[in-house]
Amino acid sequence: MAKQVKLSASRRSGMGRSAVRKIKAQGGVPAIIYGARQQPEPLQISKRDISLMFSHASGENILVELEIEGESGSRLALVQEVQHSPVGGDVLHIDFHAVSMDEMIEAEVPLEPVGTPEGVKTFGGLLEQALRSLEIECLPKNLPDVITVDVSHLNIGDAIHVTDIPLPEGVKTRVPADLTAFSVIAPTVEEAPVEAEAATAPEVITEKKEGAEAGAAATPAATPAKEAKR
Amino acid sequence: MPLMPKRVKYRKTQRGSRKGTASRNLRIDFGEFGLQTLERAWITNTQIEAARVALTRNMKRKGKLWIRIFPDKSVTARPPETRMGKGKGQPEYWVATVRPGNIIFELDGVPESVARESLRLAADKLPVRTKFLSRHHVAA
Repeated sequence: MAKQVKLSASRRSGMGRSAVRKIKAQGGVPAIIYGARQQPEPLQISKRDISLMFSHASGENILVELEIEGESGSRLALVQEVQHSPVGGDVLHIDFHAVSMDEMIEAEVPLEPVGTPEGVKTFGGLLEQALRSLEIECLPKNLPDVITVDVSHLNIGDAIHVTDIPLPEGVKTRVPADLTAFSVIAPTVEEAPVEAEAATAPEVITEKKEGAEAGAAATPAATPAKEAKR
Repeated sequence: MPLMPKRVKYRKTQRGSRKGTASRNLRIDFGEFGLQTLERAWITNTQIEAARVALTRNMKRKGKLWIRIFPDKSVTARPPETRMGKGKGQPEYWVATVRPGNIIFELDGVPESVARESLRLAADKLPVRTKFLSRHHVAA
């Protein structure tokens, strides 16, 4: 089941680029919490707490008990989206989705293969994973961290579909049952590059139109003269 | 055959902008491992091909490779010892514009050690600094 971690946050009043820059300079990360029966509230969280939270989790599906400054109780929320910097991978912003323990939630859980398929071991095939995560629906207490699938029995040409994936109790998928999740394909033999008929320039789509408009006789005479001048 | 478009609307293009960081093609979407660029550059079709050959040779034709960039921009050049003027030169080669964060290659079906070494060899053929990425280490 997904880990439930405690996280302290404080409300933030400043919005926009300059306010966010100030928060980042102080070692914070901007965040927001929203849900079905509440107004969205902008928050800020310590960067250190966030990196600690992610280092202890296997994925980004984390149930959080948010303790907001100035509130007596804590709020249960699911990490809905994490924005990362494209190069450094730093966390730029987090979305929290407020949930309640007795209401179904939708989440995307990573799919992980377990074992080496027979087709890979014996025949040198390749295990192809077409589905990296599975959209599921469940109660927050049943939310799995990761869904593991045993692929060791797969031979070349065999596949595991969504229907074949064993799900934990109380978890339903939201994707079509006939979707392929894993398959073992035959080893590919790379073809030798074809040297003949190698095109040196692509076909130009607009060239045809120009030729048709200008007339067949005028264009061929004009073009070589222009080329010769150059 | 070097990578280039099959059909284009116009043979010659303007240089365009390479500002900013990548806003798309910045996550590992297909394979298990990837090579991410940390710099902005034009990567030519011959550089991509050289990197691909180095990769597949080291992988000993096992596993699967995805090339996430495509050289769809033509670069023109003037013949040597030509006077200025007389219009734009002829297309010489094709390039793909990459910005920091773009994924260039993705690999699957090989152990991490092989993927690391193969992508290192491929990175040596490219004009940019790069970073090895693994699907398991992406979430930070």
